[in-house]
Amino acid sequence: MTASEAHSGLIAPHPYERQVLANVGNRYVVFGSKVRMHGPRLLGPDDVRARFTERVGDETDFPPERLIRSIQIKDAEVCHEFSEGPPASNLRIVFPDSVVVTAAVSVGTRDFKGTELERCWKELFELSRGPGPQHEVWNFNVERLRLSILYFDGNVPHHCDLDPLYVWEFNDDGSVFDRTDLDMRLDDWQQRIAAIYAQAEAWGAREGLTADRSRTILMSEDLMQKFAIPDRELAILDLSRGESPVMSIVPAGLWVIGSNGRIDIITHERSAILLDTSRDISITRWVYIIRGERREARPWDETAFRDLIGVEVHA
Amino acid sequence: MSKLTDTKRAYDRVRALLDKQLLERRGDAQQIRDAQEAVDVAFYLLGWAQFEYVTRKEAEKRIEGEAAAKTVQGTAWRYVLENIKAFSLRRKLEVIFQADPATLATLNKDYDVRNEAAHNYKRLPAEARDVSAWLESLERLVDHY
Repeated sequence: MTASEAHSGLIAPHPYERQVLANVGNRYVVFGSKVRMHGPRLLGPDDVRARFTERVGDETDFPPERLIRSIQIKDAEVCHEFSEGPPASNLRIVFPDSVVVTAAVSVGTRDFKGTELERCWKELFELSRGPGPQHEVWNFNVERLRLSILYFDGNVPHHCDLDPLYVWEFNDDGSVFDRTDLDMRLDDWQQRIAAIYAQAEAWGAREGLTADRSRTILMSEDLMQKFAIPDRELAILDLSRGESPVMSIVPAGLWVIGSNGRIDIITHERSAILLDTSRDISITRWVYIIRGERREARPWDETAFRDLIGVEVHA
Repeated sequence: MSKLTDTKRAYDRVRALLDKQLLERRGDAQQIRDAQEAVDVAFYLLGWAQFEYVTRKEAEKRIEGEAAAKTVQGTAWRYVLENIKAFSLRRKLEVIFQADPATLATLNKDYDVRNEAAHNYKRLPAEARDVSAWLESLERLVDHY
């Protein structure tokens, strides 16, 4: 019989069955299992009980108490009370049927290291053999957005990682900024890349070049990680003359200061940076710069394309 | 000509090799892109370290020059000279570029990028990834010292 069973005759929901909402810097994050053992409805902005109006400057460097005080768990009551223990804890969670769990919560920019884990397991094992509610150790990795929960069930150690299921920020006017907005930008980015590829394929075909989009790279930008958006696979456009490669066009980044996206163009002789300098995201204005040269950007057109692949361009 | 010129040349060669590998499909495209990002960060940090060394020396030279004056300002500069070790690089950049706020602002941003890369394992932002042109711009600044 486990400690929790001994205490109440009932066991706490498995961590994968829980949804944990916490404030991480300026964001609110719902942690849970991606296999959705926690029920169909996700916690969201309307469920936040304590909204922070003051913003933090660095999303990985803020008082841990801010995060700990903000913790909510779906269908459970959370008491933010510090106990020196043993065991030392700063959360007391009451699940349905009065099942109680205590947790020692830490906040950092990394997962536990080997020695820390060793210490935790030793302490948890000893506690699991004594009376009292189930005790857990939680670690919020605010860099990777991951919540790790450690506990002992009988003689079996459990280590559960909860992923960010939903991330949002509140705007100053109270509205919500979440991944929906970013997904739209990403869809638009993929469409603009596709348009650039279609154009280059048509120009290349006039020069006898064949196109291939079978190679891919992963797009994983900081803003995507911040809002827990899965990486996206983007095609590379390769243009060849027979078996000889002539040009590769490779997406480099969407969120670029001073532009609305960057694509790299590689040829044997030179490489170029293609930037969408339009201020209005509904239109595009592509310009290019030869890498390593500090010359003014020039419009991206068929003449520029032919120049890059080494075709003599007549004025 | 400083070491920055050699650094730029080395970067251009390594970058060209990686570009060639990508163009000629010699290996996995993602791995080559990851290698390019690591090379970008490495050369950004090397370039900044070389620039920082020259800049520190230049700032100290200018402060020594000001401190030699037998004026009230000279006394203040002597105080600065005595406490030179406590002066951050940003303060030294201000000594050199006080009359050029645009360059000073750019260098402060570059320093932020350097700090993020050196201390927070961050990749270079896409707008900072023309490392070759950036190294050349540092070289030009150093030439004017």
